[in-house]
Order: sequence, then C-alpha cells, then structure tokens
Amino acid sequence: MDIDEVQYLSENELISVVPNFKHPEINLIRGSVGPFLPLVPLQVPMWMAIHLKESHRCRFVCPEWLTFDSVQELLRQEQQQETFTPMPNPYVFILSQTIMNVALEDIPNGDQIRLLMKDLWDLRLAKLRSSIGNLARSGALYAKVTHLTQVEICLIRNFLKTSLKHIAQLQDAVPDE
Amino acid sequence: MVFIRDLKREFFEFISKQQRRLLVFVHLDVDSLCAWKIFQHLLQCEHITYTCLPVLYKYDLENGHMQHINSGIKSMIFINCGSTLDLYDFLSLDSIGNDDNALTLFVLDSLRPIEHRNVYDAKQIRILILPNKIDAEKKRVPQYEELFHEVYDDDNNDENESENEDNDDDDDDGSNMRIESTEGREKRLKRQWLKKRDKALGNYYKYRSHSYSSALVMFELAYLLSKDTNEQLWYAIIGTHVLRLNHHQNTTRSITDENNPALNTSNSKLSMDCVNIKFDEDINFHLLRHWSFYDSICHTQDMILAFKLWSSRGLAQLKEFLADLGIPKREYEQNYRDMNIKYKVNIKKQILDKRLQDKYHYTTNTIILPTFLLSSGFTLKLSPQDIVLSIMATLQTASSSSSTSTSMMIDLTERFSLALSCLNYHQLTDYLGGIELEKVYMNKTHYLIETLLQSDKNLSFDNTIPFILLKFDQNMFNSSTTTDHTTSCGFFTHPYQAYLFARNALQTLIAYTSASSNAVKKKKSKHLQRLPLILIAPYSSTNSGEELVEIVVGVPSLNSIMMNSFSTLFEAADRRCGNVAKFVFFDHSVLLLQEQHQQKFIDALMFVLAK
Repeated sequence: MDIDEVQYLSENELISVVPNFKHPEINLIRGSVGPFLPLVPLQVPMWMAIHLKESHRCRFVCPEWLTFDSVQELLRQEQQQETFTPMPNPYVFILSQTIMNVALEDIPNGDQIRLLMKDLWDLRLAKLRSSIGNLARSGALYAKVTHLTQVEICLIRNFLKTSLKHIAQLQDAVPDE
Repeated sequence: MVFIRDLKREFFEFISKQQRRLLVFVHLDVDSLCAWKIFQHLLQCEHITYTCLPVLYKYDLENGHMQHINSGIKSMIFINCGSTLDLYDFLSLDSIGNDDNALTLFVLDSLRPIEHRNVYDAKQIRILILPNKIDAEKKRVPQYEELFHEVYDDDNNDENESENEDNDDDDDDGSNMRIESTEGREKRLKRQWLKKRDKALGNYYKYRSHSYSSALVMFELAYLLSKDTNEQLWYAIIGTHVLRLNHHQNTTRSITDENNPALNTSNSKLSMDCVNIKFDEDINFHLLRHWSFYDSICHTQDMILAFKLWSSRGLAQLKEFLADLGIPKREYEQNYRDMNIKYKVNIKKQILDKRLQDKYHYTTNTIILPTFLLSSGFTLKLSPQDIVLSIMATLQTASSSSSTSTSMMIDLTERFSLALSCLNYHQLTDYLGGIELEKVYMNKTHYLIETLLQSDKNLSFDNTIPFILLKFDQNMFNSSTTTDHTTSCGFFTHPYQAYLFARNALQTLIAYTSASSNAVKKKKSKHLQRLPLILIAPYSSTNSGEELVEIVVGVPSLNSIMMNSFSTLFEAADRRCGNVAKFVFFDHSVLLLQEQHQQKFIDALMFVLAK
C-alpha cells in the first residue's frame, strides 16, 4: 500500500460540517448523507466535505481531536511514555494535514496546532526508528507494536520487508557453527 | 421592476438558471476591477461560463456586442459602464427582433445620473443597486408621469390644472377653456408639459456624481449567497477606497458602518496564513510603506498644500516639522520599512499633537484616516490606498510594445489582466511594479505642476474667461532642466487620472496664489477660487504625427467640488460648434478633441459658461 492509497482511504472518515445551502438527503453506495439544512451541522465523509468547502458551500467544525488542548495533551503523553500512545483516529496525521490545507480559517490556533503535530510526528518516528533498530540487532523473529497509525505502518512496511529479508538471507549464508 | 430588489433571486439565480454563457463588459477602472474579481469568484463557484470584455471607450461596447451577438448569449452584464447611455438605442436592440432571443441586460454602475430611458424600460434592462438604497434611487429619477405621459384627454384636465396652479395664465384660461378649441388647448397643454419635462430632465442631468462603489454591491451579493470570505471583503474595501481617494464621496462613516457586520474583529486565534484584515486608524501619506518618510510627505497633496512645499521656505519648514516630531534626518530619508521602530510608534501620536498642529497649520482629518490593513503570512502589510494607486498607475501606462496599433486604441486586454493581477495579495510582483510606475508618475506630475507655478505660459486666466484654462502641448516635458525627454502623449491616458491631476493642479494653483506675498496675486486668488478649471492635454497622435488628439477634462471650482456639471456643459458647447468633440468615454465630463478644433470648442464653451 502506498501513501496515496492511505490518503485516499483516509478521506472516507466522517467529519462534521455546517452547510449554507438546502438539499434533501443524498443516497450513496456506502450509506446516505442526511438532508442538508443551512446552519445545521451534520456528519459527512471527508471527500464530500473537501468538495463542499472548496465550492464555498460549507464551514468545517473543528473535530475534538484537533483542538489545541487535545493535541497538546497527546504530545505530553507521547513524551512521557516509551511505547506508542493510542491515537484518536487511525489517520490523524494525514487528516490533520488535509484539513489544514483546505479549511485553515475554521481551525482556531491553526499554525500552533501544526507545530504540535509536527513535534508529535517527529517523536513517534524517532521511537519507530529506535524500535526497528532494536529488532534488527536482537535478531528476534517477531515484534509486537501497538497503536501505530496507518501512515507510519505504510512507511515502514516496505523497508521492514526488504531489510528483514536481507538479514535472513545473510544469516542463512553464514555457515552454522 | 427595473431596480432589482432581491439581488440573489432576480439576478444571480436568474443567470444560473439560464445555463448559457454570460457576457460581461468591465470598465477599466479600479472599482470595476474589484467588482469583477468578486463576481468572477461567484461565477466560478457555480460553474457558469462567461466571456469578459474590458472596455474603456463607448465603441468598445458596440464592437463587443457585435462580435458576440450571434453566439447564443442571453444575458449581458455591464460593470461601471453603460448606465449613462441609452442602452436600447446604443446597441440597437430593437433590430434583433427575435422573440425567444430576449436579451437581458444588467447594469451595475456607480456613475449617476442613470439615463432615464434605461430606468423606464422594464423589458430588458435591470439595474443593480444596494437593496437598502432603492427608495433613494427611485426618488432621484424624475417620475414616469413627468417624462412619458403623452395622452391628453379630458380626464387629465384636473391633474394638469392642479399642477399649473401657480401659473397665472391658467386661471384666466379657466373661464375661457370652453370657448377655446380643444385642439388649441391640447397644443398648449402639451407645450406646458414639454417645458416642465425639459426642466425636470435638465435638473436631473445637471450634475454628474458617483454613488457607492460597485464592488460593494457585488460583495452584498456574495454575502447573500453566503460566499463572502475575507478575500471578497478585501476587494470590496479596495473598491470603496477608490471613491474616497477620488473625493467623489465622503465615505469615512459609511465604510465602517457597512463593513462592521462582516468584519471579524481582531481575532487572535486566526492562523497567520489566513487573510487577516484589521481595522485601524492609519497615517495617510502617499505610498507611505514604499518610500522614505520624507519622500512620502513631499508627495502627499494635503501636506504640499499645508506646508507650501513648492517653495524652498516650505521645504525648510517641513524639515523643522520633522525635527519637532523627533525623527533624525538619517531615519526619515531611508525607507519607511527600515525606520527604527521606536520612531514609527510615536509618529501618529506626535502628528495628532495639538501644539504642532497650530504651529504648522495642518489639519489631521485627512492625514489620520480610519482604514483597513491586510496581513497574510509573512508578506507585506497591504493598505487599500496603495493598491488603488498601483492599479491606477498600471491602467494608465500604455505598453510600449504595441505602438504599431491604431492611435486611439490602446491595448486594453493587456492592461486589464496586468491590473487584475495587481489585486492578487499572494504574489506581489505586479503590485510592486505598479507602485514603481506610480512613483514615476508622481515625479512627472510634480514636474508639471512646478513648471506651471513658475511660469504662466500654459495657463490662461483672464477676467473675461469664466474658467481657468490649462493647456499642455507636445513640449510639456521638454525643458532645459530635465535630461530625459519623455513623450507627452502617453501621459494622460485614463479619464479619471486626468481628472485627478487637474484637480490637484487647481488646488495647488489656488494655494500658491493665495499664499503669495504679491497683492495682485492675492486678489487673483480670490477670483480663482470661484472658477472651474479646464485641462487640455495631448492624448495621442496618429502615425504620421500630424493630427494630434487632445483630451479635455473639466474640474468644477473648489467651492462646489462635488457637483460636476461639465458633462452637460460640454455637450452644449459641442452642439454649438458643430459636433467636433468626441465623447468616447462614459463620463461626459472628459472628452477627446482634435487639435484643429480646439479653439472653436473653447469659444463655444466660453459662450455656454457665460450664460
């Protein structure tokens, strides 16, 4: 799976928007999106929200996990623990970037949240790298990691596959003593 | 109804339901550019296709109309052009004739008075105005009955009689009414009615003025469609500032009132990358952020008049003033943006200091003005006045590459797109280019006004002539003091800018003569204050260089600066001397004239003004 595929899949998450037009219910394959009334918030999939925002038909409601306080709390927890902390959403980083690109005006303290997100990302990546290094050095056959987001999994997937394969090949090549 | 009450339903939804391409004529001035930007955004949101044609002259309208007449267009929109023309007649809409090709014309214009035939033709023409001003507009245009009522039968006798009560003849005729033949009576009534009609029309058309900006109407539409964003607000702000800059309107109160509901007041939570608009009181020196402080003061019209900066004594006084403000020489001669911040912070407070005001005799109501500032990310802070000046400078500079085109036509689309890109607040290259052009233009204007004050060669002023005549010829830029010989033809290319120059020249002239120590000149100045100014300057020449076309601008006297009656006066003068003037601009107080007819026109104008 590619990063692009992850992004595509992430756009299926639901997000709350406030439309400014009136429209009856829309029936889609995956489910229906309820009647649109002006100034009444409702949940829509992310791809629809982006489309509506770009044609200036709606306003985003900031999701609870993207407020300044909650992101700060996440960062604090991540800094305290050695292992990974659970993320509120499997697509946190991709979604936050998409939302920032499209609807920066609707997110209060947007640029500060961006900084915090970047810190969080760097922290988790550092942890990932060190744990992979430990895995390679210890020569264990498997390791268990919890609470990774899809993007991070996607990042290390290819690398882990090829590198572990190489290690295994090299180990086979060394004559047993 | 000709005046559209509900912008959203009668205008925008009408257009989007038609599902046809839209034809838009945009006049080449700042206000219409801002209105067009807002409108373009609205059209793009709804995926409506459009064709945009920039116009400067009246025949551009005609040409554009002819070109697109058969392409299935059902609606045409005129931005800042066309309301002063009888559109029905001008575009010969009768001859189109098809019933199902019913064209609808929407006119959005800030020029008043609107041509009365446009108002009373409810079939095809609609006029866009601010919804809360609709009653004021209706009252301004003379009543339908006064203009078009042509039937005289007995039922109307009472009406006519009561209206003519003050007419003494009527009372006498009342007893003779039955004796007089009906035909004679009808003729008399008709004559009276025609006289009243002419008087009403004359009063209506006497003064040309500008009402609120078109960009504001477009923003109102965006607001109704819930598509108002900070960007559109910014364009509307620039549009209203144009009118304030040209002193066409006293808008200091109205801008704040109308924009308050839409403004988000100092929202500190908004991210830095968003468009941030702040409302503040700011110093209004010319292009303050792009020049040194000293240069900027020297080019501000109000400070020139207050300190009399054409004389060396005035310059010395200015330096004293700067010293009193507490700014060292090194600071005020470098770029304003590089100035030390502790001086910048104190400037506004110091200028407002009463003591300095009394000492140097300047007034602060035109220097410290409430205005808006746009900040987005780490780019420059943008102020609407600067943007307006930059766009005007871009619009008036003809591109040098297209000199082989016909003499009267200047390359409109290029100027239009360049000026439009000046409005872009993300990429500031064109805006800064426009500022540089404006600086060059300012320097040239200064040079012209200085030569004007030093010698009376271009100025004609006489006790017999009822106006001040300011004539520039081909050599206006050539002098022994300057080394670069700029062609004078490319200088006055835009009607509004020529008007501004003429007005500034008039103000400076009056201030100069009234401040002079010469007693004769002082007497002259009192007389000058009541006179209007006519500016005649070279406009363009044909390729052979023989025939010179000149632009004529009329500026009313300073006492009545808001009431510009020159459109009717020029038309009357033109009729007298056999239609030599070419009214190519939409605003009839600016016209083009060929050099050989100049004297004839001036004589006719003198005759008309002397009445």
